Amino acid sequence: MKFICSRDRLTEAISIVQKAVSTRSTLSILDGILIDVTDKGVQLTGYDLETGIEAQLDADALESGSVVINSKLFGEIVRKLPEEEVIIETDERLLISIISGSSVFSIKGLSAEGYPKIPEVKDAEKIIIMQGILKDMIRQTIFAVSTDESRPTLNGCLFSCDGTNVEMVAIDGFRLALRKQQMGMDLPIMKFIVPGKALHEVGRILGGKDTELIVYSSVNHILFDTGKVRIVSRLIQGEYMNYKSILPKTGETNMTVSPGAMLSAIERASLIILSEDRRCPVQLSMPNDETLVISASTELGTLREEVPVRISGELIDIDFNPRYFIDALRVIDDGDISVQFNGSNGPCIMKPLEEEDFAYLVLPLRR
Amino acid sequence: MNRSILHIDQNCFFASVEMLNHPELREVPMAVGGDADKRHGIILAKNQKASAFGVKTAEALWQAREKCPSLVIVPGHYEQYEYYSRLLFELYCTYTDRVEPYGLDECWLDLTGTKYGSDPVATANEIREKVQHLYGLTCSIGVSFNKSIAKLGSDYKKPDATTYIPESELKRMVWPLPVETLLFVGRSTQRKLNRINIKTIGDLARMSFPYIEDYLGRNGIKLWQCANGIDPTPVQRYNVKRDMKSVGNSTTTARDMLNEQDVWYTIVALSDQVATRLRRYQRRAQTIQIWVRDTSLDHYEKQRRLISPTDSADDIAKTAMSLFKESYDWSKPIRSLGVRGTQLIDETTPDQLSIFDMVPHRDKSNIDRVFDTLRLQFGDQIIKKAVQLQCDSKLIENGQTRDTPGGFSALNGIERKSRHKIHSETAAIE
Repeated sequence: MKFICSRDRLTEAISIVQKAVSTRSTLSILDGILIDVTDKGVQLTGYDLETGIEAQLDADALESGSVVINSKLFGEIVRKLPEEEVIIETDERLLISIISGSSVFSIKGLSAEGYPKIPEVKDAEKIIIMQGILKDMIRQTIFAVSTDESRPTLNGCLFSCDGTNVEMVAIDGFRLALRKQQMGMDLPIMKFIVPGKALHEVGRILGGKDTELIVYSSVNHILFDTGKVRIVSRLIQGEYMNYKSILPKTGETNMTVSPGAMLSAIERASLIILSEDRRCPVQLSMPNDETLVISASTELGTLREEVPVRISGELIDIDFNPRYFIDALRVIDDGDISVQFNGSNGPCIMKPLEEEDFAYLVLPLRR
Repeated sequence: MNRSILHIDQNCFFASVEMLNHPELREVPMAVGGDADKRHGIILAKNQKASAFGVKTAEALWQAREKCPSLVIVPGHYEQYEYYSRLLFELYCTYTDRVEPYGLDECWLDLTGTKYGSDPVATANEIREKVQHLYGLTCSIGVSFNKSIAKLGSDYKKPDATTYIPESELKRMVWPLPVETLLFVGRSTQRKLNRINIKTIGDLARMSFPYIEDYLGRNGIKLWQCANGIDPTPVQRYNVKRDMKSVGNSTTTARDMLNEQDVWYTIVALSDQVATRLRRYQRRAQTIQIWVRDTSLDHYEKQRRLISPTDSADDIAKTAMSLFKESYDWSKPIRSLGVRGTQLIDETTPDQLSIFDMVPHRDKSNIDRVFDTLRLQFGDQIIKKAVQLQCDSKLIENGQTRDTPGGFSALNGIERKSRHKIHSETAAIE
């Protein structure tokens, strides 16, 4: 096996596939990156048996072959190489030479035969989606993915397509994030739960607004293919929570507000709310139908701030975890939004004024 | 400023209380022992006469009988010990408000800033006289400038003695002592220290600090500081609700647990008691831990953080059971089990409403309240869960388990030196 490539391109490819390399595996081969040189080119692979990432590398493939090299060591070596041009080759004893300028590393490799095969996504349905759109959808929902392992289905985003719209939903038990995108074309009907970790990596590799990405899904796996990088993940099996039943259609209180203004005020309130005490509330109250008062009071001190709003319905006085508002308001890019409240124990929903493109639900803290 | 700290250790407390109630026991070697049939058969305390035969606290009853065939073993009367303990603490509170119990029979007093602070040795002697005069009990008192050295002082001379260790005498009096006399040096830490040739407290104190820190971790920092007379921990105020770290119950069942059903019965009983205590202390646990010891006495612990804090027996039992199922391979039967709630928060802390609550389900908290009310009025045995009735009475009699004080030792990374002592619930909790 032999190829010549650019150090920076190689570093980039390593850092992409490294995200799927397990760090605490009992199988030492899983700590490695698989390097595969064929006449089609050079490909790097990382796979922790849950998520697999393959990255194509711009390189001159001189001699076919494959080898597995320790991921951490490989990454650190390449990053520190002296020259831009890098030559990598192996001998019959699987000794890997990494040559750049006058420095020559010889590192022991492992046989590629022992490396597990990333599952092929067979008989797949496919959706073509713009990278920029999917990137936004991930960013706007992933923060609400649960990390509580006792409910595995909530450890991922529900990704569904009804033929014309693609929808992503995440729920962590206390809040919900929903994002819908009209695709305006004929799409297959599908529904599956993608692990949060895989989506996180997908979000990182997605680029420009105008490039396409193909998503393939089978019963057990999903594949995101940008052409340069392919991410394969196991799907989470099981029935996702019936979230539609918890999204109220109307609210007892309807408020129109600029998300930016509300965000900054809650961020200021959270300055005096010690982050380790996640139960210290921010208080939202309405003295009249034009003012939202955001206040917080802790051992450190207090904050009171007024945000201009338009209100119809009941005036409220409710405590919330500021974190949940901040996470949602931060990813809302539009102009004014509608915020609905449903009494001091009911859900609060943030939505666009007109469309149904997104919905963020947060539950209050009981006083 | 130099502090005046006293550590008071009642001499053979349980045995002394028994002898107060039964003076005839004074004349014979006697010991307070657990119930061998329930496999709690160890010596809990013994009198001087028994000590003379070499009877040791925490050894098995049969071992003790071997050394001293005439040994009279009486069962413990905890309500009596608690009664005397409370009287003693009340007496100590007339000297200072800073009285920190450590179990039923030990406590620290901080006299700094009180009128007794200028002559702590005289005060210690006065306390000893009063304890003897009022209650017929004797105690050893260590007087020093911090808590850990004061504790060494009370061990220095026994029974009925006062030992004063001023800072200037640290090297002469403390450094030659074996390192395991230091609070928090248990058997395994002792072995570790002996391995690098640390035998005395002085050996430890003279080691380089970074080396000890590296060798023992966080625990090492504290030990090294104690050895060098650095221990700024304050003596807590009496009756102040102390920063409760955890609420746990554990039990060694009367026969080994052989299958998941046995474990489930035990976990239900333990969880019920943990939950009841949590509610009594108005706390909720955010993390549930289990502790499992098999018949070869190997033990391990597992824990899980809950999505919402709980004081419900049901939640605790389910979490504990799932932790158990995930972690145990049944290579051996199980001897002891513990369940514990940690990362406690006040029950008045606002409750984050959860989406799962929006989907209607049976609220069990009312059932828990009924349990609490009935038990308060009629005693703990008045009501129990049906599953506990099915339970083999050989496993857990009357659903009784033991409150686990402060923590299972290994969990804190700190070994309790006085492991053999029975630490009451109040000592650990209030």
